[in-house]
Amino acid sequence: MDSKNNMDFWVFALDDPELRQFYAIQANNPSLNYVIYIQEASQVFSFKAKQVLRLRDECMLLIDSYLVPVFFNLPLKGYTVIMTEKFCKTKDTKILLQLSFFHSSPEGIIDFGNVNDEQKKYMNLLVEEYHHPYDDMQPPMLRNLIFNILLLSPTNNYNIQLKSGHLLSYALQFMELTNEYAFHHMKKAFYADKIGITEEMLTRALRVTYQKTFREIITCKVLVEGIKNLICTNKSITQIAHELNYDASDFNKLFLQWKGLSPTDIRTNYQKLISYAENTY
Amino acid sequence: MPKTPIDIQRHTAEEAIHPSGIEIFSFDILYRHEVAKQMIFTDHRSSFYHIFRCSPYCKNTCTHYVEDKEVVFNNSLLFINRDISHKYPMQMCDGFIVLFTDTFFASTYEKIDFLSHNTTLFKNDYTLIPMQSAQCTTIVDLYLTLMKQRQPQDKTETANTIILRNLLHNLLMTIERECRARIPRISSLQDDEYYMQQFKTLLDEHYQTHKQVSFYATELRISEKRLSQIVYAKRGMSAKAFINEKMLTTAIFLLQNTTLNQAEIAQKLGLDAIYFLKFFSKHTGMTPARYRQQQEEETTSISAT
Repeated sequence: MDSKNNMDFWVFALDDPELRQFYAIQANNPSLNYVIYIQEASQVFSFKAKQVLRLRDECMLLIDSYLVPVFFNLPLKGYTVIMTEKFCKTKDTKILLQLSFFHSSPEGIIDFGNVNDEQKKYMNLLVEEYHHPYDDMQPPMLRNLIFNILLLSPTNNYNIQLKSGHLLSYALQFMELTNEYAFHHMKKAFYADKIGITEEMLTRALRVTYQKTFREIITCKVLVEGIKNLICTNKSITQIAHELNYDASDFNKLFLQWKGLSPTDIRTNYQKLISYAENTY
Repeated sequence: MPKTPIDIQRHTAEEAIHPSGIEIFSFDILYRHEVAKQMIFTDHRSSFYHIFRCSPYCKNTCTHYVEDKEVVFNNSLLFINRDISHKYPMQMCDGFIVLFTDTFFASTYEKIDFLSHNTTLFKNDYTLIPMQSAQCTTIVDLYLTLMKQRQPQDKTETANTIILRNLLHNLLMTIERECRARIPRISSLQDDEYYMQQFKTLLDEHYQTHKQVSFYATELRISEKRLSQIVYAKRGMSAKAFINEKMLTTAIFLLQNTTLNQAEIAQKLGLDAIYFLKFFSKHTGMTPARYRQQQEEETTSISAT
């Protein structure tokens, strides 16, 4: 690894052994965003794995860090772009990049859709720029390129976000608060109060910015935290539930309603996915 | 585009360019615009920035007058700072123009930084950047093409304007890098040392695919003659000889330390197998096979004693 690391930005080919080394060091770093650009997924034969992981040719995904080992064990051709939160949240982000909402996606994968020709050109420029010797212009060059790629993603609604101004700032404040309070406060009034707006305003802000309701976002947060614990720790399901302020049966219900899978199923499935990737390829 | 004919002096952005604060178009559009034609052929100042890109296919001499000085920009990029007195020549150039304002560009701290930081582009009245390096030219033209596709329709800030602004920023940074690569060093002694180091680095990177002195001279932005002068001063041999040295040393290393056969070694060096044979024999006085044999004999005899 070279001195580029002070930029908080890395690019690896998916079959690069250095990616494993990187992950071995950074596995527990929560502030890293992993964007995967898949050029070819044709060598992955399992239909189920492809479905679950949303693999297809010329697509872009944002994944949670616990899924990274699955991806670099599969025979995929493409790149991963890794950025710290610091790199993404420049003082200037007038638009809300999906990245900061990401941590509320329970599946651990956000699909940025299929990659068009223009995005491919930016991707090539990005890889080329990354290998250029470091100078003070490299961070903004890279940031502009990755932002352009994400802005062109068909699944984003930046034009709406640009118009909504103050609603956007309420939504952002709300997300910050949920990081602290999501597991102990389930009432809209609490959050609206903290921000200093009415409940109706908060509902509107969330609807316009994320197209989601308050309930959906809070549930998401619980699911995400639950899944992280299920996959990355050996705690019992009851223990996880209690830490998140749920009793065990409600916790189970939550998962069944979301995906039709129980927490135990999630745990087994993930282990199967990892061992499938390791053993098949 | 300008709406009203103005005598000589300043043209503000509001009068002269698209309300979004950025405009990308070809020279012939400007030269056919009735109102613009009234103003551009006399000295004037504009409160916005100009980037001129002369097409590599342009058949005539592309000139521009900056503060009464004639500047030729064939196969080059010309950047004119704002508020500088300039005028267009009667003869049109085949190429592209990008005009942009501070308001459009300086929308974020990072971009404002770039404007006020020690950048060559924004310090000088104008900057002429020859497009010599093929790689740089491709990148610059790619950015220009991508920008042209995104000309805004109006003033509103959309995802499109953000993308366009990022492209402009990257284009300017690419040009700035090219400028910095050319700034002459202070003392000529440091010059030689600096270029020698750069040459060595480039050679290490590219020896397999590029063996011509002309390639390295272009990458270093100096003439072939100058490069040879430098290598002679530092190493007592010509640039070509230095490249040959590199090939030879690598070949010897591979012969001594690997079990690769002649054809494989030739491939690793990016040489045709027969040529490699001739090349090696000429420079060492024996064939690669004989060389290897000799090395083995020497090693065995040493260990036997």
